[in-house]
Amino acid sequence: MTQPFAVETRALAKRYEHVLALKGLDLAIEPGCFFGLLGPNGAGKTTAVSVLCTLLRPTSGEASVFGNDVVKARRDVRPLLGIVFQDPSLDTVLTGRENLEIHARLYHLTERSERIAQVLEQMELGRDADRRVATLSGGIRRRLEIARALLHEPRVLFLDEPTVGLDVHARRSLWEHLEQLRSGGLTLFLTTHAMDEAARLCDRVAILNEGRVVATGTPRALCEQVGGDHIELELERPEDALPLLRAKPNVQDVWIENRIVIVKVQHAPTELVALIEALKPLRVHAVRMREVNLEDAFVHFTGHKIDAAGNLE
Amino acid sequence: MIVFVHDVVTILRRELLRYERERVYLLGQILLPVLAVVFIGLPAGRLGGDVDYASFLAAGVLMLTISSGAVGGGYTLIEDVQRGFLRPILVAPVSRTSIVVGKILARLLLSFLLVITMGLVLALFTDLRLAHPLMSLGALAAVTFGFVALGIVLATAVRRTESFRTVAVFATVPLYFLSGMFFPIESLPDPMHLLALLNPLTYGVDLFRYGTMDVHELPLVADGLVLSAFAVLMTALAARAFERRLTGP
Repeated sequence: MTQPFAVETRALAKRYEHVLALKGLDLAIEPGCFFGLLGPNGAGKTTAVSVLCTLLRPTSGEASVFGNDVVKARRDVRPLLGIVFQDPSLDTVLTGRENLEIHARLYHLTERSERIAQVLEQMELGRDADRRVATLSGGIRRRLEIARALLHEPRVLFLDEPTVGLDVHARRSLWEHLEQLRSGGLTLFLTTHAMDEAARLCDRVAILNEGRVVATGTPRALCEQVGGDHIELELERPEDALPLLRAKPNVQDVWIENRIVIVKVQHAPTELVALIEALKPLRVHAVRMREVNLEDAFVHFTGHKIDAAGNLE
Repeated sequence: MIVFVHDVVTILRRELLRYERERVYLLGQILLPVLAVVFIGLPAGRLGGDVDYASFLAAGVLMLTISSGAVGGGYTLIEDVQRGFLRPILVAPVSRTSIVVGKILARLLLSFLLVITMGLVLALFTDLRLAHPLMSLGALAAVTFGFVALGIVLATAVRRTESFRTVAVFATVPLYFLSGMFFPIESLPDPMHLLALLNPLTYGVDLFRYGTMDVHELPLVADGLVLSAFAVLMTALAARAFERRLTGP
């Protein structure tokens, strides 16, 4: 028998009264993969996680975790899962350690205090573990939730928008801690609307748009599918540059973002000189080149841009 | 079965840890009934016969503390759902029933401790005593189960957290006033007397008075039957309401 996928879904659909939140989701995630489900708010990410975590019944289709059906065999699925929900779920009246202690008992762990000490060290939480959760910062709470999710040594760790609401420093720190989990063979199922996060952490990603996967692959492969380079130009009057640029044969696309003209070409180094030449009558202040990133790929596949809060622009 | 007991105890531990953090709130719960007995019961003197009003009221306010506290305890289950505390517990390999039972038992243990503490204080200046310990405990348990369950049912029915308090007041205060907590139900005018007889809490108060003062107004068999039915029915209703709240949208 072939080894089952860590997470597999086939034509998974979920309807809430009149809204179809998932419209046939197909995923197959290899064990040990750091997987990212990308999409704007309302794309169906949290619904997908809730179904996979046995909290919601799918309307149709199938989903399994290491070969166990999330509906029919949910009792077998639950011990395999570690979850950090999008909304905080720690008991704020209790200390971090007490939260972990209760969780350890719910999973019937023996040698609880040793295991708690291990995960606290893993997430570098030693000093804060005995303070009430209500007094802890958002970044530390998130790490506590991850520590709690790891306590019973799950085979798949679900993180639903783990860095929403965290400051830049706390996000970086969280990424570093997650990176260290790779060595243990854990499978990570991450949902996010932050493309830099996905690019940083994920081996494979799927882009979810209106309840459907529109693209899947490694972040690099998705960028390569989009192809080309971007040239960013700062000019006195960006609008004037558009007709000139559109007339150039090798320019694939041109648009303005925050008063910066962005030109998409196949190969920037060979096009750059010709472009600057064409724009000579206009006053060009600065020129930058960059490769296509995951954010560009997201725009390419969904037709939408996503803002910092995760909403479609 | 062993797993079930283990899980119930885990939930119970968590609840007790939380209660332990809310000592000030608990102190408030103890203070009000004692003051009511001191400032209303003692000056009011004697009821007809040889029952003094302070003792009568003392048993009544103990039941008031237990039942109103229990409604609040039931509400915390839904609060846990809303605040997200319950989600990790729901994903853990734990049955829903053990969560509800653990929650109710924690409240029962707390009720028991509150009654002991307040009872000891009240016994200093009233005739309250443990005449029939098992009857007192039975009344305490049935009322706690019934009212925690009532709290769960009410909490699942309201959409917004803020409206729970109002809904709870409308649903429970008439039950308190028509339960014989403050006056013997005999002294109530006819329509009210009938309503009091339809109120399950009346039987709890009656049985509790029998347990702590050795007096009662109603047949003890009726007390026992009505209370058992009330506790079982309400717990079943609460379990259904809770399940619906979880599987709903």
